[in-house]
Amino acid sequence: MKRRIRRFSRGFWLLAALLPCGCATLASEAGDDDAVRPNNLAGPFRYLVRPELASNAPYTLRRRSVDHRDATLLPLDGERVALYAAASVGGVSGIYRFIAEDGRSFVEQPDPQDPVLAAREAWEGATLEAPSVLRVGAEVWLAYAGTDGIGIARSSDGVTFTNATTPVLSTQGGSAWEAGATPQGPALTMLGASDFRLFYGAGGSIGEATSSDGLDWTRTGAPVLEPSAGETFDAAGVSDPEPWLAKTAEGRQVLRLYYAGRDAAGVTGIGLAARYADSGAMQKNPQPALSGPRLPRAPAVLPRDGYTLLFVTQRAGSADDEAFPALAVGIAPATLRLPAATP
Amino acid sequence: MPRPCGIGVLTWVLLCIAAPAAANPVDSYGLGSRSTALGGAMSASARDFSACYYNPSGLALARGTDLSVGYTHVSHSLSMNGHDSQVDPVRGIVGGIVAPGSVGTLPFAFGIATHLNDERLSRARSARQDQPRWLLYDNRPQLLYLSAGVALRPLPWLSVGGGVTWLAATQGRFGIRGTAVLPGGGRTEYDSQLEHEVDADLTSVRYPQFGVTLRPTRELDLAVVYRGQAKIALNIDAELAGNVDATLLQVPARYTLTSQTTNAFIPQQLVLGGAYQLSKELRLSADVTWVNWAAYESPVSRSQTVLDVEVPASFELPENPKPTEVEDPNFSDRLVPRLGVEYFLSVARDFSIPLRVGYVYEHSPVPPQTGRTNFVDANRHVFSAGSGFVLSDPGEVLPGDLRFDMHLQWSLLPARVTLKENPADYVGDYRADGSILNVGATLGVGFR
Repeated sequence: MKRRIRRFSRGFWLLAALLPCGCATLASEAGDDDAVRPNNLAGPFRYLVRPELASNAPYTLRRRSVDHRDATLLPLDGERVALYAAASVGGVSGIYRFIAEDGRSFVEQPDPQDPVLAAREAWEGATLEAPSVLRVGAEVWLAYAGTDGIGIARSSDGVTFTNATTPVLSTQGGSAWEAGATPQGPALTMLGASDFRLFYGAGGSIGEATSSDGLDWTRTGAPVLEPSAGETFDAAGVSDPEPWLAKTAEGRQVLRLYYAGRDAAGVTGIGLAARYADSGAMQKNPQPALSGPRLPRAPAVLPRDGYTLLFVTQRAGSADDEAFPALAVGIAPATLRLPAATP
Repeated sequence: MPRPCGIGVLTWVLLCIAAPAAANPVDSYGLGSRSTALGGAMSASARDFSACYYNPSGLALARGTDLSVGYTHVSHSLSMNGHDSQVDPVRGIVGGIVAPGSVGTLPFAFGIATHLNDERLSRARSARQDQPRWLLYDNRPQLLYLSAGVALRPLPWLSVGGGVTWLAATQGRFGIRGTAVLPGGGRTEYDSQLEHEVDADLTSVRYPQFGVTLRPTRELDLAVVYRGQAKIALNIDAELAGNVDATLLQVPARYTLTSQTTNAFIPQQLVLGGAYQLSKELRLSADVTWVNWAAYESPVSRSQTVLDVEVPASFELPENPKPTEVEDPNFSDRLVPRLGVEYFLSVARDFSIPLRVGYVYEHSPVPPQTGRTNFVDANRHVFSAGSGFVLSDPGEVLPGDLRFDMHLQWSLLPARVTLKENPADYVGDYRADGSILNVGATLGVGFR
């Protein structure tokens, strides 16, 4: 027994001598920089840069005299996305449709060449603005703003739309907080099969209307979003709603609403508000989702697998002759870098 | 040598320097294999180097000079929403010495203990308060730990001790001066002429600890231990001053950043413990530790940046970021129960095998993260086991004991779900859970 113990003891000392050698290595870098952390992919956004967009980053559509503005997005098959925007192509104003094979690099030539919707009805006035597109079953609905209010056009293919003969929302029947202002900047969404919601801006606040069929709309009364108090980016007014029905990582339904905020100096930025319930006022995030010196407004959101793109209308540049509107793109999470754009 | 630089680079570097940490590796995972295997219920049982941490008064109860050296490896499998958080492992040498003697007729002992990480002596990293991270396992264990203690045994049934613990930390200052060239006109950023200045110190923080051991009977030991609070305040001033050379335009620019951070925070602790020798082979031990996490200070940097540059109107500069509004973390105190059972299996007259098990429950001190902050944590169940051997009087060169101990410690962190109050929160709901595996071995030699 004694000998066995001595033999064991010799081996043991060898092991003991080797113990400190286990640490004769160089320190490694901290390992969690690339860790995937919880993120709603709802913001804050950063602008895309080259080569995430092939040219003109962060702009995806930017041309003088065409004045691309007020984007809304409709995912097609695969990565393809259709973007509807107000523009004036070849001197013809209307709502145009553009296609991007990679979901962000839109071809300047509209598809089709002619506007998918142009002003024809008396209530629409001369120019259509602020389109908002929604797929409803086999149809595509497109809400838009005219001179006298908001109308909804319908299409079976997303290309040929039929103008609304009358607005679904106008100054008539407006709530007291709207102060007689014409509803503008519509945004359509669905919470259920027969639960349509239409958000709109009026008098510096954002309201909501509901409908079970998309034909008859009822205002909900109080605004769902109002300007913030104090020296905030949205102290002077909120407008341009853009809803996004999503679920949290724990499966809770959340209705997000991006909006354009305006401060007392007229500087605009994009904010995010949301609510868990189907109705009621939205709760804001005090931090803007996107801001910049070129005055972003009119947000349009495009959720993708693992990230979210936010399209905004803003100045085409900082020079005096670049005051025309153009469509820029942001991404969340801001730390993500997209592969080079498809030419 | 000219280097490319920019405000973004400077900011990134500074943020990497200015950073938080909390507690130490010994608080998190234990010190020494025997102690770790017994769940850290050691206030009334530590007699080797680990007494410097668990109870300095235990040093005076050592039977002779005692040397220990070991190695421990901790790997984290912590995740958020099912994604591995990639929390760095902790691995390093542990060890120490106990040297008993006497002061007059009173038994006296001196001890020293260390946990020396083999990858880094200290780490400081910064993160936004809304960035989800495992606060107590991120920087917390990435510190050098060194403790020294002394103990007296004025009465056969009373032993008192005290000591000081040192932790290492880093501090730094960063500065850039010169001319930065904007690419263009045949020149690149590599034509810049810049001077860098880095001033970094490895500093230390100290905190005291005291302990008392009572032996009302031969079988029973009772202990009280106090460990002090410590924190390292880290203040950084950084400056970029020089010219931006745009070929046709020379733009003087100055960028300053000040950052104030609580870089390390070790909460004070009070331990009540006892150990009972049920038989010659079997010993039970239990501790309860009060940890003053309520005093925890936010590890988020209070930083302020100023960019002072005069450029033509067509240039677009980002706005100076607003100073950070740091929210109170609102941690709460916690009581940590520890249990340990040790059984010696006698194989031969001078050879025995210890069998050890332990359990610890650490309730999370972090409140539900329903607001802006995202300090991720979960309750922790710690199960441990250990074994090894004790060889008594192995030869004339070692008139004492030779000990070899191994430990296996497995921590389970059940899922903790965070539901955000604000539906517009950018992080949103998440679920955090995971486990931690700690293995190691310690070799000890005791002389009589």
